[in-house]
Amino acid sequence: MSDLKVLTNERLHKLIDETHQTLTELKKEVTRREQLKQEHEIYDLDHHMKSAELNIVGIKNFIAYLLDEAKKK
Amino acid sequence: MENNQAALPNRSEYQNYMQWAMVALLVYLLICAVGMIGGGFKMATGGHAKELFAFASNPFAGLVVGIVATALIQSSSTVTSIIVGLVAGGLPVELAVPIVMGANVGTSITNTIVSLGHVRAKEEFKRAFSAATVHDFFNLLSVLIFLPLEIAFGILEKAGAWLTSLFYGAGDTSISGLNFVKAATAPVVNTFKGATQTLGDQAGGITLIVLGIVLIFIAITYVGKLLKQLMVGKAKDIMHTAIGRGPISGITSGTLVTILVQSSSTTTSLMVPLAGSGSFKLKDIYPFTLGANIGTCVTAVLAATAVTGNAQAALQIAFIHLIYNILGVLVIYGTPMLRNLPIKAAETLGQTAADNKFAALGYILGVFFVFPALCLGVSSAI
Repeated sequence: MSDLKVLTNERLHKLIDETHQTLTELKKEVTRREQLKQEHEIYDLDHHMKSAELNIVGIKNFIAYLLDEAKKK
Repeated sequence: MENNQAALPNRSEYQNYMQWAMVALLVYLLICAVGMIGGGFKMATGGHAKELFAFASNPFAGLVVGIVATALIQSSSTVTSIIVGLVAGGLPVELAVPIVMGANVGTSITNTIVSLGHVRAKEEFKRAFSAATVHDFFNLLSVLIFLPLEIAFGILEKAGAWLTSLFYGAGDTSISGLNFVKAATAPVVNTFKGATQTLGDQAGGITLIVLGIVLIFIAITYVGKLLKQLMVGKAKDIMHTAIGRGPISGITSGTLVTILVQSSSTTTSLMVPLAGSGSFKLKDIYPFTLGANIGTCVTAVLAATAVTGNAQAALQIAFIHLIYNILGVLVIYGTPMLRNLPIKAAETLGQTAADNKFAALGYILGVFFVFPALCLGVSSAI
């Protein structure tokens, strides 16, 4: 974009419009991909239901992790 | 071969029917259990419930009882159903309101503990812990706003009384005139009452309360387990519909999923792995958790429709729980200045806990046990 100063106003306005349009399209694509990722996670809800269950093993692992960390320190 | 193929769906259909029949039976037992608690409390206190619960006349003490009891039992539906039973048995509504508020806070410990499972992956833990604690911060903020208002003006009690009057104030067409559920549960409740009465009023009443609490706990635990299996497909559909449709859709979806699985802890805990994976951001999770708060009130309202004794007050406390949670969403989520406070607090805490895992342990012990104990100590000393 070193030739910005030599571009006409008309050309600059056209470039701005194109950039806006590209930005909108990029944002739309990012949102689409994020939603697709969320949909995939929801398809796997049965698995998440199991991992979201409260169990004593999770608490034990957490305490063990804390003890390891304390020993390292 | 063909016969085998035809037999498979039949078998699964049969299992499905059996599971639904089991859900119906457990809900019936839950309603009976609430009635038993009400009857037992009335029998044991002999109309002196207020004196017995004098320690909870300090609203902070009531709040602490609600927080600690729910954090230990891990089910706000169980605690609120027990409260409904106690109110039916004579516990004054004004003493029960802070306990219900505390139950809301106490129930959020479950998903926080679930998030500890992600401790070994730093970024994942940060996201999971933030997703879990956004519920805590919302509930704490809700108490900070509504408890002083309740102490000063009794707004929830009045709103609950008004809503209840719509069901009890219309003579023959009121809920009391058309209560089939009460008629259906009366034989079981009366049988247990009759059996425990032989132990004397006080011992019999206490036995009836304990039996009721055990029955509620069993019913809610197994209903939750069964509904999780039966409703996972429906929950998928509901959550799928809510994707990309904004916060109101998220709140509605959270409410519906919680009604289907009869547990706010299940809904909010489900959000933890979804956030941990990074697919759902905190702002996507937040509305679901608010909906869970509203959906969980259905259990107590259902139980309150069939209790004996002071049934009007029992329905009032169940409605207070519902109004409190709806108002919480309207006021906090509806006010732009307040809306993002729980998110910011949860993100900050998530980052702190990811950097120093001991902070996570300190937070859980502090918020759910040490701070309530200190409050209880200070309030009883005053």
